[in-house]
This record gives sequence, structure tokens and C-alpha cells, in this order.
Amino acid sequence: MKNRLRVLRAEAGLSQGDLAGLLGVSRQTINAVETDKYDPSLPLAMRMSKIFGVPIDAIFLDDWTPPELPHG
Amino acid sequence: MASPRTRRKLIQAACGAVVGLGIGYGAGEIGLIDWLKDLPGEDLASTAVAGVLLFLGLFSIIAASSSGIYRRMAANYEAGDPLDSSVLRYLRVSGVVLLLSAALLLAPPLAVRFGLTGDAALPVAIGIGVLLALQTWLNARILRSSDELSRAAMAEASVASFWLLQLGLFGWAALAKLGLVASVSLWTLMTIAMVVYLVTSIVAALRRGMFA
Repeated sequence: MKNRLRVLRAEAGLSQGDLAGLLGVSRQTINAVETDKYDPSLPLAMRMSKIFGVPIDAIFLDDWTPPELPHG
Repeated sequence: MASPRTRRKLIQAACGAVVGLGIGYGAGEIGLIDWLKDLPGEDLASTAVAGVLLFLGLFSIIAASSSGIYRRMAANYEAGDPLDSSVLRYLRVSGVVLLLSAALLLAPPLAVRFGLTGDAALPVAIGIGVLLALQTWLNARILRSSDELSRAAMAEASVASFWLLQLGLFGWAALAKLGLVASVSLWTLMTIAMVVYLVTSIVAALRRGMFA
């Protein structure tokens, strides 16, 4: 899944190591998320959202649109 | 003109080639190559895998012996990486697990080579049991202290190796049942399982960018 983590991290002036330390994961995890090689778990995504003060869908970009609901 | 990074890699490769040549020459001089040539094929294969594990384990333990050495030796270290004692401890424990895996792979063929079979092999079997229990406990510790990326890579490697092994095992077993291929020993199957898990682990870690 595409994401804006690298941009948000740069805007906050954090290195990958800094962010990893704040989130309690390895720098490789941050790098893997930023390079779209790993989609984080929901708890980790929520912690990222809290750190940057933005909703999750402002970090992770999903172009899926739901099908129209059948009308009864 | 090669970049400084490429030059450094080339110099490292040249140093590695010289060291490898020296080790190979030394092994030939002390008769190790002749000794290895007399081993059955499956024992030679498991000894080769054990050699790789031994090298990786020693590398991990040496690299994690101090933060300064880790910064110089770890290819994936970047300035700013959190490098507290837990990172080094994790790497050291991983190194010990690799060394134990190498010892476990080496022990049975070596025992047989030195004539320890039947009742005489009982102390070896007990030793293997103790090492296996220790390795299992350390592996559990590693799993508990890993972050979610490492756990995901481990899970993927486990799934991929299970799928490949059960497919291969079924195929071979079916052909052997039909008398089209020879049966293989348990030790050969175990060595193949170890190689498949090693390869799938490396592929999973590469796919997830864990060496970045």
C-alpha cells in the first residue's frame, strides 16, 4: 500500500531511527513501510497516526472504492 | 569511474577472495579436504550447511561484541539507528542460535564418522537433546523480542518452506512408491529442509527490505 510516511517523517524532522525509537520498532521496519515493502499492523499504523497527528488515511493511501450498496 | 561505494565493495570482495583462498589452502594442508571427500554425500551437504551457519553465527557474535564494531561491520546500520544494548543482545542471541544449529548439524555425522553408533552414541544423543532444548528456548526468546517486521518475515519463510517441502516430499514419496526414484534417508530430508528454510528466510528478509 502506498503511503506518505517518508514525507510526514521528513516534515517532522525525524530520522528513520528516531521514528523507530518512538514507535518501538526497528529502523528496518520504518524503511520497509516507506518503500512499500511492508504494510504495518493496525496498532502500529494507529501509533504512527498519533505521532504525526493525522488520520490513518492521511498516511496510507488506498484507491479502493466500495461497491454501491444494494437498495432495499 | 566506479563510485566510492563500488570501490569499497570491490576491495572487500578481493579481501574476501584472498582470505577464502588462504582458508582453502590451509584446509588442504591439514588434510581437511581429503577427510571431507570421504564423507557420504548427505553428510557432506549437511556439513556444508553447518559451515555456512557457523560463519553467520560467528559474524553475528563478533559484529555484536560492541557498538563500535557493530557500526563498522553491520552493512544495514545507518547513522541515527537506535543502538542500545537490546539490539546487540538480540544479534548475539541470534548468533548463538546459529552456532547451536551448526553444532546440531555437525554432531550426528561426526559421531558416526568416529564410530559412535548404537549404545556408544547415547551420550551424543543426550548432548544433542540438551543443545536442541537450549536452541528452542533461545528461538522462543528471539521470537518474543522481535518486532512485527521480523515476525512477518519469519512467518512468511515458515509458510513458504512448509509449502515447498510438503510439495517436494509428496512428489518424491509418490515417485519412490511407484519405484521410479530411490528412497532418501531421513538425514538427507532434514538437510534439504534446513537448506529450504535458510533460502526462504533470506528471500523473505530481502523482499521485506530487512537488509536495507
